[in-house]
Amino acid sequence: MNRLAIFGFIIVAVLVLAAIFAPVIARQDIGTTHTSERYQSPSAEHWFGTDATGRDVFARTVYGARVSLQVGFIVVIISALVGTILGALSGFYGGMIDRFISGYVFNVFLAFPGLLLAIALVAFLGKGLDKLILALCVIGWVGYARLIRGQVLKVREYDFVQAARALGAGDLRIIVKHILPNAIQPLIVQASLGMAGAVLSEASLSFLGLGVQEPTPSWGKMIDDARLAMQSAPHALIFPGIAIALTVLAFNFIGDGLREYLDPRQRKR
Amino acid sequence: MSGPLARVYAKHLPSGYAFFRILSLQIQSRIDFIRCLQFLVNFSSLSVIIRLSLYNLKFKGQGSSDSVPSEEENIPVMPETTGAPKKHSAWRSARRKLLGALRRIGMLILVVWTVVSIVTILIELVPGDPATAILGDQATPEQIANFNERHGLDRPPFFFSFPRDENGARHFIWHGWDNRYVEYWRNLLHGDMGLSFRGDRPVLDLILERYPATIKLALAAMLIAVLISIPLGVFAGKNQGTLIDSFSSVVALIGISLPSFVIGPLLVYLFSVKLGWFSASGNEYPEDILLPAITLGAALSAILTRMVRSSVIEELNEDYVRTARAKGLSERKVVYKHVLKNGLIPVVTILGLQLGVLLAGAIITEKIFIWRGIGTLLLEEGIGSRDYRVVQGCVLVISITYIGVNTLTDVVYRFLDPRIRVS
Repeated sequence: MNRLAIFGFIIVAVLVLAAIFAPVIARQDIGTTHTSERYQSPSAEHWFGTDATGRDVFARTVYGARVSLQVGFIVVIISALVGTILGALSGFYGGMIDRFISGYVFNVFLAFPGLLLAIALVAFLGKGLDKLILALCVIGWVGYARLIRGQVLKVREYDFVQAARALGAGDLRIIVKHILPNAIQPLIVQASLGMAGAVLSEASLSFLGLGVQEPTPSWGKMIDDARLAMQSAPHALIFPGIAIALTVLAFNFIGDGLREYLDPRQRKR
Repeated sequence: MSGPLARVYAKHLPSGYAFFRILSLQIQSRIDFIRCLQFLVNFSSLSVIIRLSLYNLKFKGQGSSDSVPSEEENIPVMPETTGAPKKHSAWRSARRKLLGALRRIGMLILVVWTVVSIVTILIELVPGDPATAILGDQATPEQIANFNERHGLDRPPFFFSFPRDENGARHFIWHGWDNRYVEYWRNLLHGDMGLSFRGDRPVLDLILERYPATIKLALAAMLIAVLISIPLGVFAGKNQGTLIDSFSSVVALIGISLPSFVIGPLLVYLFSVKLGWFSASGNEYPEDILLPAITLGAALSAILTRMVRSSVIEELNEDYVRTARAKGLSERKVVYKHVLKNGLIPVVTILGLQLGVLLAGAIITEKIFIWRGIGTLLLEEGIGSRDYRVVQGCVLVISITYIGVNTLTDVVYRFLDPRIRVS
């Protein structure tokens, strides 16, 4: 494993611990506003200063990790699951099923650029954490499905699959026991990169006002609140900004590191 | 729309963007807009057919050895069938390619149809009644009926429905052709996207008013990304492992991990609040585009820098580079005349694919800089005031543009790189 990936793992470990033990780490109240303490610079009492309504930025950043990681993990797990099932079906059975899923369904979902479908879904369905997760899953699963389909297409031609079939194994057993374990490595890499994407998308949607609603702290929302008061309190934007950047960077490092580790041919790039 | 903006374009964009100028500026009426869309679709599909058939005629003698072998072609050809049947097989492969192209076009039409249908049907998912959402709780039944009639909401939403009766059981009801879905399609094909719920302005007019600003922003962002990434990537690739290389990697990583809504406000803080060089928002003056374009293009330039770098490293190991060096070309000529030409092919594809992503990403950038483009239209006039007709129109136009640009990129890529012509 390279050093950057280890750095990524450390950051992610810190983030997960911060998210779990948020009430212990950040004792300040995240909800109530203190108008007398607006725009305070970082100090011993408020490590990251205070925002436009006098709330402690450090506490909100720590609690923001909860939302980000929660959304990220749920989105990655659901979309990887859905993507794996559909991708495996499409790759294994081929024929009309494959033509329908990979030729048609994939293309329809890829026809919406990036966040646009998520924005549209949240706009029509209404705001809220559950709808945000749904929207991110809808845009997320195609990547996993395409990946797994490609892997299955490759693996199903291997001799051991033919051997399993000759021994009378059923389709389900062949897919679950023989093909998927061989297709899982790139899935882990993709999931790690997908975490980075999901965290970023959550922050983007929250920034646009379409994600997590007040008073739950979310990094994207914090940045949106802070950017209009940049002149008096730049720290209220910078700290959640650093948090997003570090999280995204960490998951990207882990993904790249895993890819190199799992695929030795790429090590020399 | 054409006068002052056209001059801005002429000043700020190189002539290579002529096509996009046509796309964004010659749109003076709806008919032109529809024509542009038709042109996009026709151009991409026709060129595939023409090119494939020309390609086949040219390489008739060589059979289909250049294409990716399919299962059929892997059957070894018997020696005695090398005469006349060869021509036959060339014809067959031409036909197969033509059929493939037709299938792609068919799929394209199917995808566009589905995308439009999804956007059309999404509006039915809105919780509650659009009329009460717009008019408020105090609206009289008359006003609501009036509103529904004006926006076609008095019709049934789809061909059929399963409403519950008083006993809670569901029944299938066929509504026939007079429904919102058919109506929306019919209007769309006539260049009409309906009236906005607030203000009753045609949605297409609203979009045509604001879209050029977004396209301008996206193209400027792309230009900035190219201007940053190609020199940086080439330099890093040439000097692999040096300090410059590490520096470019760090820049690329920052660009990838810092989202635009962090970069944007920081740029505003630095250049408009502290230094006072640019105004913090709006698109009144030509130089106003600089900060938004950098914000939007940062992520792309990071991706491109990494791509150009690895592309250059890969190409530098090729035999033709050794030949070029052996015949005494200067390193500069080797890199810029040979390596870059081949190394930029994947970059062109990414550029095409990213233009659509930029159009979607522009929504965030436009919010930061209050840039009056389609993003602010979608967020403020659309989602902010619950004007679902506007949301529908914006989502539709952005996705159709994205599909069009992707198809075009695909075709261009096939022209540029013969190796992947048939896949």
